Amino acid sequence: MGLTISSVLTRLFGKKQMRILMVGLDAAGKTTILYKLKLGEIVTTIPTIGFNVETVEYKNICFTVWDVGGQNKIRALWRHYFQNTQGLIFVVDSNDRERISEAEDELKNVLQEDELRDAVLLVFANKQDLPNAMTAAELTDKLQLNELRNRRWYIQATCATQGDGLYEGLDWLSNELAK
Amino acid sequence: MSQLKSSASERTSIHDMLKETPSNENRSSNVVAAVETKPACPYSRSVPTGLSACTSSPAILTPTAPTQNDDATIMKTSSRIENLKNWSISTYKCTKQLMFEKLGKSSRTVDTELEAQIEQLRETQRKYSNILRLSRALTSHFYHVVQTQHALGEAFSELAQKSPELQEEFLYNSETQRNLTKNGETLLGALNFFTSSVNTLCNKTIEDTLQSVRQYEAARIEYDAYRTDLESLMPKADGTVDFDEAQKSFEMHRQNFMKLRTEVTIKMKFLDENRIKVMHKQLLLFHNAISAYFSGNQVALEATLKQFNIKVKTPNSAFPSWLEQ
Repeated sequence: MGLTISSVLTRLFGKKQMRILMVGLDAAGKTTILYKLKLGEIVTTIPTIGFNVETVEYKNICFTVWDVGGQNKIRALWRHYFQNTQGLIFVVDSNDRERISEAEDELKNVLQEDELRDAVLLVFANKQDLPNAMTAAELTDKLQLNELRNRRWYIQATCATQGDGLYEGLDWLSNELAK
Repeated sequence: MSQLKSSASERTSIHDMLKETPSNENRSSNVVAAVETKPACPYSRSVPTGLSACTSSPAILTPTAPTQNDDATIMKTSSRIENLKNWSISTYKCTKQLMFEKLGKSSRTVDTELEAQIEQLRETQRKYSNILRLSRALTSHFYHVVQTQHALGEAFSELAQKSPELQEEFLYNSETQRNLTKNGETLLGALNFFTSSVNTLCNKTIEDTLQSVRQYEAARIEYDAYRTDLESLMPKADGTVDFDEAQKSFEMHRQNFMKLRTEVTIKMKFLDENRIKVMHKQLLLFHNAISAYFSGNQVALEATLKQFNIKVKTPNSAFPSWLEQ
């Protein structure tokens, strides 16, 4: 009885939960984005070995963001954190033209995973402040996002150090969750 | 009895992983050898580890509905019945296995090392939950203290204006209460940050690994159920349809079990590194903030919050309402 009441109360007043997995190549800015969202500050980061988890509350939704290291040798770790993921954030360094095909391959691999078939995809085209950065449209083309089938996706130009675009991305995620 | 150890279980940390990428191809060679392994002692078996190349984790107990694109309803119904049949057989076998294990009639696969680690992890979660509960209580009490100090400060300052005979006395009291409120809010910022981070660790990060552990434990029962099944068929002439089928499903469940076992081993290691990293930071923050506040060192308190990039919110939103907890 007590449990029923408390579960009803949670349903009415509690926050919605959303599990987000944030992946991408190394040095794309995943950890910087994570702590910018959590603290609103730019934290000096070192390459992530392992992972970071933070809960970010935004618009009455409790996002649990998993930021898993992106170095080549530990990308095999990503798959251990796929379960129950509702939203996938793929962070791209827009300035890194040389490795964009590598990023495309990794994105393709991740999207093939069975456990992520229902997850929505948000691409952060990060480091837009750099002069040579590719635009979101250019990245859509390079990552072949238009060829994705059965996937709700969105690309957002961001600059983590300024905080530009991050909350627009979360807005999209929260709208997708509401659907 | 062959004892094979996976390279994953020998690895001590992610740092080692960085040096050596796991190669699924190498490990899958272990898979075949283990099929004929018969337990010497029924109550403890060492489990050879193999990792199947498949990365998804199919839930055996709940078969997914097949894609039904043609309109043949008979096909649909029959496949549904088939699913139901498979599910009931599987559930029956697992329940039987579980019952027999409890009664001591059936052997179970035991990985002492891993199970000890799992038990330890559950214990850690319980203890951290307790810390979380206590620190939340402290935060809540302290919030009320700060609120009261704030109200008291207001009352003093009001009286200072209205009673000239005691104006000075009221003024310095109101001043003190205000300063205390300000520092108290700073400390509350630190306490809230601490509870929120420990909450994430306890209820998200550790919970995630425990979820994998539960999948692993379910897979262990399935595996043992099909193993018992196969062993009961062993004495009969092999080559029969029943035997082949039993062997096939045994192999399938064994691979699933091995896959989840490797996953749990790896995830527990990463979790441990994450737990240490997070707790190191949080305990440092907690200590520095609390000791600075209670020794009256305002400068050190503010420096601590700055060090951990915590922003003190406005007084009204400093503490979440009860609805948000």
